Amino acid sequence: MTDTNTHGVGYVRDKMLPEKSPPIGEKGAIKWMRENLFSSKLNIFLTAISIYVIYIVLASILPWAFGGVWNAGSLTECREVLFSFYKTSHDGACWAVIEDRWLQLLFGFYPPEAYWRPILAFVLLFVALAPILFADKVPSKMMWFSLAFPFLAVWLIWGGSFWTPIFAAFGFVAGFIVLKILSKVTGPIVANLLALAAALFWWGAVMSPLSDALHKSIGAGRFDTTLAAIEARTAELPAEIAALEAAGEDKAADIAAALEEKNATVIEMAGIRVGEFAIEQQIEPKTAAFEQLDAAQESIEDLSDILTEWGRAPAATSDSEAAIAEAERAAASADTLIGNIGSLLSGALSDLEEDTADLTEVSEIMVASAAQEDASILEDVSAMVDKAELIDPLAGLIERAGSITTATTAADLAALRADVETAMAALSTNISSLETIRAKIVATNADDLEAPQAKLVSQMAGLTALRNEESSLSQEVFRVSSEATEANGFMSALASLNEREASLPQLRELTATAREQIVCKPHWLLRWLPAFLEPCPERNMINVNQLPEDATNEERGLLSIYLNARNQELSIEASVRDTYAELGRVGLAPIDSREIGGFMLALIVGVAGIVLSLPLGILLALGRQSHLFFVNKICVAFIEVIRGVPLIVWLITASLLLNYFLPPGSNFDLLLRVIIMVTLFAAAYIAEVIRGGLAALPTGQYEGADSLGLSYWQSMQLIVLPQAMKISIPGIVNTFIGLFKDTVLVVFIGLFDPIGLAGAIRADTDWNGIYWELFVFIGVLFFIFCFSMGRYSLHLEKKLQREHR
Amino acid sequence: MTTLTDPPKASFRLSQLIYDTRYRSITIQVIAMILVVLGLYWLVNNTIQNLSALGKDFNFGFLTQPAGYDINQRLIEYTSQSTHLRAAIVGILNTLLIAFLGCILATIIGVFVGVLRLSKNWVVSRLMAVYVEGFRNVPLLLWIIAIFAIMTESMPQPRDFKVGGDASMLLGDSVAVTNRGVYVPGVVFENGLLGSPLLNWLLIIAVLISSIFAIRFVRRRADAIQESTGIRPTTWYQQLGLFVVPVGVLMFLMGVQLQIPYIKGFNFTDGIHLRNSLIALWIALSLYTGAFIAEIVRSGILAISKGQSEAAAALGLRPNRTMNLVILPQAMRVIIPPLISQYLNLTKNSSLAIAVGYMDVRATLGGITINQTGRELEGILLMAAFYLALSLAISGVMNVYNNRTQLQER
Repeated sequence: MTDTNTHGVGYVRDKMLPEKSPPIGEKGAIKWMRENLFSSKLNIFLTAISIYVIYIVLASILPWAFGGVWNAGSLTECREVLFSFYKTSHDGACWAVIEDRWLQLLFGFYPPEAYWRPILAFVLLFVALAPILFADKVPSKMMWFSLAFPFLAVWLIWGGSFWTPIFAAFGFVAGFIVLKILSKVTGPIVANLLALAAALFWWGAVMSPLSDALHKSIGAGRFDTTLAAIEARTAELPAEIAALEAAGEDKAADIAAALEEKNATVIEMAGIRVGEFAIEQQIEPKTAAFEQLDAAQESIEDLSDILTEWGRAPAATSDSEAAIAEAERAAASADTLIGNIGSLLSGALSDLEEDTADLTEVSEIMVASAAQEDASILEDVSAMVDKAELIDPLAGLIERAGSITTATTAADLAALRADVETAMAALSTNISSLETIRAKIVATNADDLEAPQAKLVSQMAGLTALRNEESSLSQEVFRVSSEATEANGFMSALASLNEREASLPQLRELTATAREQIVCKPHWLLRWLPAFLEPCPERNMINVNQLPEDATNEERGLLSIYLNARNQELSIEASVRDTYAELGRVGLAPIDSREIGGFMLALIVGVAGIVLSLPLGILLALGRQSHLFFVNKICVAFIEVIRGVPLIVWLITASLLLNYFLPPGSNFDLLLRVIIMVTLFAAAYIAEVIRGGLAALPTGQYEGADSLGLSYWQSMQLIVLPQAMKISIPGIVNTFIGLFKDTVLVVFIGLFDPIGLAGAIRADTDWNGIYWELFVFIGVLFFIFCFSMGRYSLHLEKKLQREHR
Repeated sequence: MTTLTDPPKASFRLSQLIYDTRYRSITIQVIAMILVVLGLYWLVNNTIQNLSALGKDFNFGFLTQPAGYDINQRLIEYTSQSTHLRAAIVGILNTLLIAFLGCILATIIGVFVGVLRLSKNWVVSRLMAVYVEGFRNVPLLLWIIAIFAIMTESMPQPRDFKVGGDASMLLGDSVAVTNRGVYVPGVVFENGLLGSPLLNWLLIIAVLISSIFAIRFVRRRADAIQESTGIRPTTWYQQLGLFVVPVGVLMFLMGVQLQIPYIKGFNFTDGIHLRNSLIALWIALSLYTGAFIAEIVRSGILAISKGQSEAAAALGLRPNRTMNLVILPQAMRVIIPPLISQYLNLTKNSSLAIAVGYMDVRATLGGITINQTGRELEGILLMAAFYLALSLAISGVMNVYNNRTQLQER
């Protein structure tokens, strides 16, 4: 059968051809490039421009960043090292400032011996975040740790007795217990209010007396042993300080020796390069002279242009004001040009005459220096034109330039210009031959320089190591001597403790009597009240000038007696409490907020703001979506006011105004005030983001929850918020990133965030004038944090989306 | 037989206030109101006590006293003898100026980068991504300080522009970038038709606006002709003429001249001096906000489903008309609201001017005035009120726009 086919058709392929590889332009990298980079004219243009931009940026940044100096004690030393490698501070970064100060940029002025505390808190932060960030991979019991973490972190960073965070946490527990018990007895409203009241009562009235009592009882038990221990310690401290100081002096001597060695190397290198310097000193003034001649030549051209245009000295062609003004202008500029020509020429002359050494001196230096290795250099130098040959024509030129007036003919000017150009050509040959010589010398020196360059680098490394040792020694000295001061202060506080405590009842009595004697002038509306209720505004005053204008001197005197007595009582009371707190502390050494700074400050403010603002933001968002008119309006007003004003204004409010809004005489930590403000600020933004999520949820979800008979809070907690939060994740994370970046604004109210510390570092004479290295370091730190937050949000978005589908 | 009984009389019991949902909301609101009022009373009372303890009072009289300090950049007349109020207004105008300039440049950068980031060109889109991520993830303050440092540290000194110096002016010798700021040509009216330069400018702007209205009229007529006959008359030369001729004639009449800055002594004279503080703040704010706007533009374009452009192609529309008639009108609805909130952010971020010494409202009213008069409370209140009014005004405009462009669903 098949034969019939073969007769009719000449040829039938009976097997598949092997697959051919695609044309070279249609596969692999070339295809990709054709499609992605060069698909159209516009695309080719864009690609070319982008590659050029990338090249420009990298070409300026990479050599700077990778050619930098890591070991140096100051910017001057950095420049010294860079110079020995033929670089300037534009060609190489001075990373030494980061090496020197990175701990300060990270921790501010936090005591170095306590660095482990914030580091531990930072590590635990990730442990605490794990159940929130990766809920599917971590056992849910870990949530308890996450809840405890804020209290733990505060204790680790600020120190104090271990029970303080526990007591603070117990406020929440107390509120929760009251809520649980009462919500069965009374309604939810009463239960919530009472729970809030219970928590506030615990924090306000119970917590600190309880803590003080604990301090006191423990302190009283420890009094004798502590006193003995401190006495023993103070006895041995001076010896310790002396030993440390001696070690420090030894180190200083080592450093001085190392510096000497380093300077010897630098001098050695200068000795090798002396020929080069000599040539450079020839080149520099000559280049300057060349530029001046060039400018003179241009001025002559301009002058001749003006004169040609007017045909002669500029004079008005008519009587019109405009013509006269124009002629005057031309004449003035011609005069300026004539003056310029003379001064430029004499400038060039003085450059050549005074600033350039004689060639004979140069060749002497050459003979003495390493340059003699290459015999051709000496030949070149001796073949060079003598200085006089360059100077002599200039003198004639200056004379001619002095005789230029507006009447000089164009031909004369042209001749002068030609002569100037001849002088320039001579100078330029001279300069170029000098540059050849210099290149030769540099090439000759390269081998000789290698060893000292390597030596300098290793010496700098050794020097840095020595300096680090010395600075840790001096830190130790500082720590021990401040320990000694503290121990002395504490010892005297302990010695006077009993006396101060004993004086308290008497002081209280004094205050009470003084209080009784204050003249009371209650408001006339309140005069009918019985005597024991009789209000006395004067007794609540904190300053004498709060009294009305017409108060008598006697009244003022009585009030001021009372105020003095009360202040004394309060200060003695506070000092007794402080002494007991120190004596009875079981825990970590307390650290003042002022010592916290750098990136750690940014993290503390950022993390605290994030953690606290989320719940507040959710409440605000619910309030804004609520149908309760009054609640709704309060939330709207709060959110709009906070969002309408820049954070920096709120921070200034926190630093300047918050004390006005709080009860008279109360004053609390600036850092805490900042955290409160940042939290309120972020909460308003979070509220808007979550409101978007709530609004995006279909109404059916709300209705479904209602139809199940869930209460408002149940439906929010179980149905609405989980879905709304999922929608709002990108916005929430963006707000967090914004908040974290905004923490640097605290620099404006005097806290030492990284940017503030950069200023402080620059104020040090060692590092005065350093910018980019610090900016790059700070920028990279922030970038790492913010970028990874953004990536995590993308990851979360994708993960939740898959579940949703 | 059925007996009708009255429904049980609703007798009000006190417990209903808590348990009955009809009354509970009122109870909650009343409690909330009481708490808020008590809280406000507490704050105000504390403030009064604190103020009296410090011997201060609360009044705005300081605004009429002479300020006694100089402001280096002023859009209206101001001397150190002017009042604090005038200083505040100068600061407000400077804030508005930087906000205005910043919004324009940020929009240009943002649209440009946002479109390029969607480009199929791998190198270009990566480059734009690096720009966007780099600016979004590093604090704005750092950028402002860095750009200020570039301006003051790496730019040539004015004397380098002298004859024989090694710096040269840009754009046909009309713009000089120096370490003391940027000098650009100014515009002078040789024989202005109105008294002050400001009025002359307003006249030019008025003429421009009326030209635009005339152009719209021409276009509308062209549309009408196209509707009725199917042929669109060529109008581009009419439009161009309407735009160029009236303004050109007016400017000729007024003798408008460019005043090019030139070096005199060790500094530039004539022209307009843009200080480094302004330039650094402007560039940094624009680059930073531009990165955010780029993302908004990108998401706006991506939000339009592919079916739209395919349908437009199926109708035979050319790509540029597809963009103009189909994609952009829909994308704008997505883009505009977040864009305006970025403008708001830019305006508020301009208060970082403090980092480079730009004299905005925070520096005059909220800075030197407060320090000189000791009126923190009043000064900060006024400043907050200004920013609040500004953002409420802008968000009011945004709401109007949103209502007009909202899709009418269901």
